[in-house]
Amino acid sequence: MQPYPHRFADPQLDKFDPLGRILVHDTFSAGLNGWIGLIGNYEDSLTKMLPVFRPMNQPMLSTAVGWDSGSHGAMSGPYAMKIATRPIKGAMNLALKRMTFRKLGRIQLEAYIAAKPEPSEAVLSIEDLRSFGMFMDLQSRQYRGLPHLRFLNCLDGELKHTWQFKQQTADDNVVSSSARTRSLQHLYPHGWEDVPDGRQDTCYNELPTKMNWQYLKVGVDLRDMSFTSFQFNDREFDVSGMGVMRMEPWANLDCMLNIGFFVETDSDKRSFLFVDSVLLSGDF
Amino acid sequence: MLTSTVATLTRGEAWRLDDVSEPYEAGWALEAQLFARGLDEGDQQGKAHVQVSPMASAGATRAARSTCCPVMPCPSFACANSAISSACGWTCLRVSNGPFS
Repeated sequence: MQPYPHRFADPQLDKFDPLGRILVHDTFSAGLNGWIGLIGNYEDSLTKMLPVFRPMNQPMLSTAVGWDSGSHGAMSGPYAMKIATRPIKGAMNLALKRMTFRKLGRIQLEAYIAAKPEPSEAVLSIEDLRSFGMFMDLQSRQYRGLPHLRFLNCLDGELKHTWQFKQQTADDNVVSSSARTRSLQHLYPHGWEDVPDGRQDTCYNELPTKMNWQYLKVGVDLRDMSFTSFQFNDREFDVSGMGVMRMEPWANLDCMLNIGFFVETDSDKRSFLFVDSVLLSGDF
Repeated sequence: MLTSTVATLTRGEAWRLDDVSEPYEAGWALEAQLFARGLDEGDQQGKAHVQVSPMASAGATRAARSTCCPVMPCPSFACANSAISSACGWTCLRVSNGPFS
């Protein structure tokens, strides 16, 4: 008799709690598996791209090298996916994976991640990283939904350690002479609201070169574009007070299922989000 | 392991002499080829240098090995090669003054 019949024999899967069907299980020691930086929408010229998207660049495979120890490595292998901001206060960067869904139901994103400022000086640096988080860009025939969650670590030098969500509908702009291409401003820094009882102390550790892999789980129901679960490490949050940015469907986006992670810096120093592994599952 | 990939390091930005791209970690690669393309007329030629470093931190910038190539006003492409190895953390592109010789 197996003592834990619901568990996986594969330890790479067993560290997750997926729903019935696994859609994505990515680690990054063999490649980026379709994770890519976000290019803002445009036609005619790159100058049409909205300013928030212009500085964003590509994720990379990293052994998380620090000056005092060398390669830190990932949790599941030698490489993690690294998302890096530019060294400009308030800069943001992200990586996403683009798919479509085959059933309108619940989905769940899980990941092991580590967020750190660039280890470029021998100081604690805990105030250098503004936030890290996840987002999705989803579309059913009824809604376009964009769940956004971030851990606000620090804002303008003041530690916050608070989870936030964003439900305020963002503006959009036409970014082409044909007027057929629009761009949604969902990544601008305004519109964040605190998750109820959302303060959490996380494991930064004592040096910018020490990384602890932390567990994130976010569930979403595609039918009404609502959060169904949210967990970070040992904290499971009540999602009843959390909303999702929701709007009328846009053209050409039927069944869109995009998942992404982002990081923001709070100083003129790069901030990094390392993603060790990602699992996306659904209830079908 | 990944054997090749293409990454756009910078796009649509005004480059001035001595500007450097954001570092791109490619310690898994044996070789990097960097291409530069001007999007407007520009006002002078320059040289593109490849920088590599064992450190992930740009604060530890050190061009361990590099080659350089000409960058012409638009429309043009330039290409520089650099042998990198798993001992190297990242690579980036720097533009400097003067015609290529």
